[in-house]
Amino acid sequence: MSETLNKGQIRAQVETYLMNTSTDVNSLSWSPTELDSYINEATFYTQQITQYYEEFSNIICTASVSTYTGPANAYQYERFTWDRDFLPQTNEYELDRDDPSWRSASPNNPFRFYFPQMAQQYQIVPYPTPSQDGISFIASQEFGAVAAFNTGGMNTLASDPFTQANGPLNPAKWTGDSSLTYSALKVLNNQCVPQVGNNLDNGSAMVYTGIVWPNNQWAQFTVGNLGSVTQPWENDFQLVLRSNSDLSNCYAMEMDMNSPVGAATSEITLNIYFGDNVTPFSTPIDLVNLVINSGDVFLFTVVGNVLSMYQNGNLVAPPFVDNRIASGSAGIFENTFLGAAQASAVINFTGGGFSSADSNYQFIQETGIVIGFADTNGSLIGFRPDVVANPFTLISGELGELQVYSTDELNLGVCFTRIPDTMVLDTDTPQLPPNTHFALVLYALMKCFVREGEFQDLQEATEWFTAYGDWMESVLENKARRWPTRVKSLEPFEEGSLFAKRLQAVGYPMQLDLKPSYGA
Amino acid sequence: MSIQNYALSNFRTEVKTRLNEVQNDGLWTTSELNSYINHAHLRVVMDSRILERDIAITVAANVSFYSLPPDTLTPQWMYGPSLWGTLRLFPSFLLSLDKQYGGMYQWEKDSSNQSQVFVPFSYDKFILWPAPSAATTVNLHDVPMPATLTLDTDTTLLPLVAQRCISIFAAYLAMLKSDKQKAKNFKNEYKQRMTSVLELTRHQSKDRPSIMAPGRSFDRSMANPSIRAFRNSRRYY
Repeated sequence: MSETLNKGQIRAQVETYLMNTSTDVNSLSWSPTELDSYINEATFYTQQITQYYEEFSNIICTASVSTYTGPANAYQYERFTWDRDFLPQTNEYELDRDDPSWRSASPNNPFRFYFPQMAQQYQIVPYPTPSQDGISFIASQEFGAVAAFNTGGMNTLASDPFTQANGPLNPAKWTGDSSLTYSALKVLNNQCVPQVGNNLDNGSAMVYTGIVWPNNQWAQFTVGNLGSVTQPWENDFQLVLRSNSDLSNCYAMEMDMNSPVGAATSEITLNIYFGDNVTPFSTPIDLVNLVINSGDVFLFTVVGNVLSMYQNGNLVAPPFVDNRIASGSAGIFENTFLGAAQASAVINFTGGGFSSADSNYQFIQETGIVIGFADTNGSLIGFRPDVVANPFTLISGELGELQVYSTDELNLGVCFTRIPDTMVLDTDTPQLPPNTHFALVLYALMKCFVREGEFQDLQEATEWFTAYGDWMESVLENKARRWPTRVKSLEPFEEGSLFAKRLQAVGYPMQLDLKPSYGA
Repeated sequence: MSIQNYALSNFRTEVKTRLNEVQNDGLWTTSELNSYINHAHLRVVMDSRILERDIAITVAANVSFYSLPPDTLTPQWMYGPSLWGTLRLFPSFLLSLDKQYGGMYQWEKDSSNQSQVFVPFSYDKFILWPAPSAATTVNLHDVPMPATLTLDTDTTLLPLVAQRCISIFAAYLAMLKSDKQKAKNFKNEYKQRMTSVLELTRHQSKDRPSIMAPGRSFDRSMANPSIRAFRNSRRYY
């Protein structure tokens, strides 16, 4: 019960106040979706009031290109630099006034900037137009991020290219499902395929028992044949990690081929089987409308409690953390439903563990994972966690790994107040300090009673907004007292209500007049 | 003689008494009341800023961007390690650093050295300038978030005078669910009590006044690079 509240906890508190806690969703006066939208609005409004959340960004400059696009998540810009030098803002009027030929000026080092238009993503024009390309780094073989320094590299301990006579898989390596729920895989034309004619529920699965698998393990195969699929049936093949003998406890990376195969119709899911080898205990990742081609290489890894899925070397989703299954073997599951004219097939199975830890590198949140930059002089920020994929997830060191990195060197550096990211999962936490989180409950309650309908009660809404304002006054007082020796104003006056002042700047959250002094 | 020190269960008992729901759970469940008590606990610390501490933050060579401790509520000041002579680090602004030496100083291109100032950034970050040239620690003096009260026996570090305010504000939060007018009474009582807390703790404040009084009899402001840069800027002369 920390004061750091995530979206689910905020909604639970709103529902408790509303006594809107029935398990029958249809009986609820305010649906979870509606409440979530209020909580997200509350987060944005509170950010407008406090302007707490700030961010840096770089915009890579290209020689002789005049116009650039600002970050999509900028709420208000605070400072621009070019090559780490402050760029004062100007506008077309000043430029026309001071230098009538500025439009034909040749590219050079920029010393001003202006906004030619201020749409959702501002356009930014540095003046003069940059004459050289900015420094940028792109993930590549040279600079590419290493998956996990703390676990070392991948060791191959198991392999089966399936180049053998048609028939059962090598029994020295593979063992079938001990519960007999699934039939055994077989080799056909040097490819691993399921038994033909399975019913709709089951498939073919085997566990690689030719080695003792380390707990940190990986498995990989190549798609040999996508097979053919007639809707509504699908083909699928899965990489299995940490499996027991009947596959009732295991992690599975499942690739589903829907019709037409080879088009953007495929699906990749992460299934956790726990106590049941037919129905997953949970499916925390489900990616749809993907393209899977013959020859694609799929890799599935588990290091500690972090599960990662790769297609052709690229992470397909943010790594997922799960603590349920600690050990077991890798394996393969394949299924061809009735109606599929040809089974999908895989080749070149490999698997193994990870070499011993490299103690020279240690992940800390401030510095991220070092990925080999020769030149960090131009960067105001040395390293920072990668928040591109999921800004709310900072669980694992691997998630802090940088894929793309750019510096302020010969580029536009931007400092701005952020638009908070929209919270989707219940575990997403507002990007505001914890002392504002409870205020979001009060704001959402106000929104509940403002909404048109049988429960509309503007008096009630006003009361909740007053409660929100009271809490926010304390938050803003706290904000004003941060760094007390920092010069914030040369005005020799104590400020009055900080919240009222911000309300004047931002406005009320709706057209309805909720100003408390106007109460009946 | 013992002095009363509220545990979570004591807070809850008092809140239930105020709500006139002394015996069993009715409109308010125990976990609900516990959550209001913890919100109130935070609110009292926010309003009184009584709890303070010094905490070390590890800094790395050539890295200028750092996170505040996750449980920092109100950061107050920083001082450097003995490696830097334990000198105070002054807060500044990016734009203030830009104005140094009439705006001609390219401070972002400066090499790493002993840090002199820091720039608070976002709600949980700060930038050290110059970037430290060696791994060390800087010391932050802050008001921390209060520890969450989970067990019925958990107690707060707040003094008794402030502890009384927790149950009043928790009663306010709980009563919002039932009767807004009665809730207002609790809030008003809380505000009155909080004044007495601030009055008692005022003398312990180590902060300078937040307003700049006219007169130069005790003006150390030029020691603050933020102000020095501000005054050196021709634009404001």
